Amino acid sequence: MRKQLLHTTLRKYLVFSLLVLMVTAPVFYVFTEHWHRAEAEEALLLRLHEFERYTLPGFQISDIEKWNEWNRDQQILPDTGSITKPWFSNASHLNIMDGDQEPYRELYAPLQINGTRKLFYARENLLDNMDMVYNIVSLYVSILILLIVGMMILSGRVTRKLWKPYYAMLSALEGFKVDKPEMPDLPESDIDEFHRLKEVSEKLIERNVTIYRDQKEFVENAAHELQTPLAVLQGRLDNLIQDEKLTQEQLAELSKLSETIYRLHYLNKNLLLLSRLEYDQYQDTGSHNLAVLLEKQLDFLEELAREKNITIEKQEWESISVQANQVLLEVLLRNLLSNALKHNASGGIIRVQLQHQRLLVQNTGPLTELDKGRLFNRFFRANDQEQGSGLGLAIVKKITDRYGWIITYHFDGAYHSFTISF
Amino acid sequence: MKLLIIEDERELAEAMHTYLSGNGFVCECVHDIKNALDKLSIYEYDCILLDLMLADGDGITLLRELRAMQKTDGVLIISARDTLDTKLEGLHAGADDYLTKPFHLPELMARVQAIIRRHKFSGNNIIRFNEINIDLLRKEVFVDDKAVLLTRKEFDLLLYLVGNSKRVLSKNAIAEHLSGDMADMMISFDFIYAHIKNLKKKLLQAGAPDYIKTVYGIGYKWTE
Repeated sequence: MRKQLLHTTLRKYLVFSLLVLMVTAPVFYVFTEHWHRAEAEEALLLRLHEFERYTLPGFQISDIEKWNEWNRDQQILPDTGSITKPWFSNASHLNIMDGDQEPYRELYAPLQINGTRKLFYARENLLDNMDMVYNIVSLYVSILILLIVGMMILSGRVTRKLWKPYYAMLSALEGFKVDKPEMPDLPESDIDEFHRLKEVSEKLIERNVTIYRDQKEFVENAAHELQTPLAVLQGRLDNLIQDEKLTQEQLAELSKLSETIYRLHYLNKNLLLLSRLEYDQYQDTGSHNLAVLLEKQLDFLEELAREKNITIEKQEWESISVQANQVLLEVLLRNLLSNALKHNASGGIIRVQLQHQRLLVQNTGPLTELDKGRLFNRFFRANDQEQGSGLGLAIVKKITDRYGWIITYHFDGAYHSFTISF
Repeated sequence: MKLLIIEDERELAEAMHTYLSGNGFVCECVHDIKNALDKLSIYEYDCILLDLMLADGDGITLLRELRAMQKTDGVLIISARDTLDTKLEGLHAGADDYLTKPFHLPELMARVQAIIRRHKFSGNNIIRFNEINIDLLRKEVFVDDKAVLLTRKEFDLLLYLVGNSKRVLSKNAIAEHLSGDMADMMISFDFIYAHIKNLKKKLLQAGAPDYIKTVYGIGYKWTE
């Protein structure tokens, strides 16, 4: 399964934002904690200075007890002697509200009250670490969700709009076939890259079409030009055999020559037919009864088959009406039937079935399956002793393709079956 | 009977000339439209054999001019173009028949004879060969007065042989004639052997001499 352009970019963006969030979360945590502690310390110092300025001047030793009773967060403690300048430490105290231990920043500072050394103590509630982690994580998750949803909507919309000419070009190119006359209509774009893509594609298509057309013309012309020399060859031979001085052996040689000319003639004819099929000739179509056309072909086939001692079995026989060009339809049937005859062995069987909008032609013959991949290729031959032009089935395939019919080949160990579904 | 061959491929014109001369036919050859028009303005022909692609123009144009001149000579188009459209165009322009290249000379002979018969003997469609009478309209054959029952293929074969009498016909030429449109179905030409054998037998039984001679190695010949 290939990824779509849109999803690939989106996925890249999301991975990047996830990475950024994951890296910044601890940084944010450390930074916030540090900043909050600094704030707490500043506040504690402020309280110390306020105490020194506003409270200390009239403060008596006897006031300490009262003070400590009313100020839970600012206390005057007896001097321990070890603290000579303001000193900070961490501690945790019980929160009477929820029974949890809460982190505090504490300040101890030396103080003179009426000439006696005392310690000023103050504490400031810090953020709970777990609370902070929890808050940061939930904040980040919300940001992430917002980013994902936002990006999906945004990138979907923007990318689709941005790549619109590209997708239009793609579908136009997908419909293009070198053997069809319609040129793809590539959309104009004011984006340089798409404009270049359009120009390059158009040049490429034009070149291909030209090469293809030249090649077809060449085949058509070459096949055409061969007709007259073939006629000369045939005519000279027809005259030559009138010579009474010719021996039986010489005549036999000439007979073989004549057969070769016949093969050349039909090879050439088939090449012309193939090339015309590609030129999209044989436009006029009509409704034809397959059974009637087939009957006509079978007459002659039976005659040829008798010579090789091959039996033709006509099985289910329904009237099937198809929309097609009559010449092509006849060519199709003829090629299919003569194929069944050519590859048959003496004493073999050909079965023809016409039923359910389907034509089935089966024949005995070689006991190996034909190469399904190459069967309908031009000049495909199952073995090198075959006499056919190698174009018969290629023509059949071309005709079925033209009308959207489906041809399948199957070998069941005894019969080679060709089925055309109309 | 006079024939005019208009064909720019000289070798082919020569081959046709050689085969068609004799048997009561006199042939003349020209290789372009200009010379053809010269000949046609002076002489009457029983059949004109017309190639379509000529050095100085299109054979169809010549054919239209000919019909415009009220000339009723039979015309057989001989062309490398083998599409249905070209054939129809030729027939609409007034040709009697259309033969695509390459072809067998005996086939050409048979077509020319058919055209001449249609033009000259419109009331009388009986071909006679000694004691054999072939009725073309009713597709019946008599030896003296005795009817011979022939299949369609045997009838065609007889006509083809008699029309090309004293010429050696290759199996190939006969097979292609008999199979017509379906010639590309053939894998060998042996199927004609049965038709020849049957025709021979039926004619002998009706009292005709054995006119069909086997030319070993190549085919058959209708002899006197």
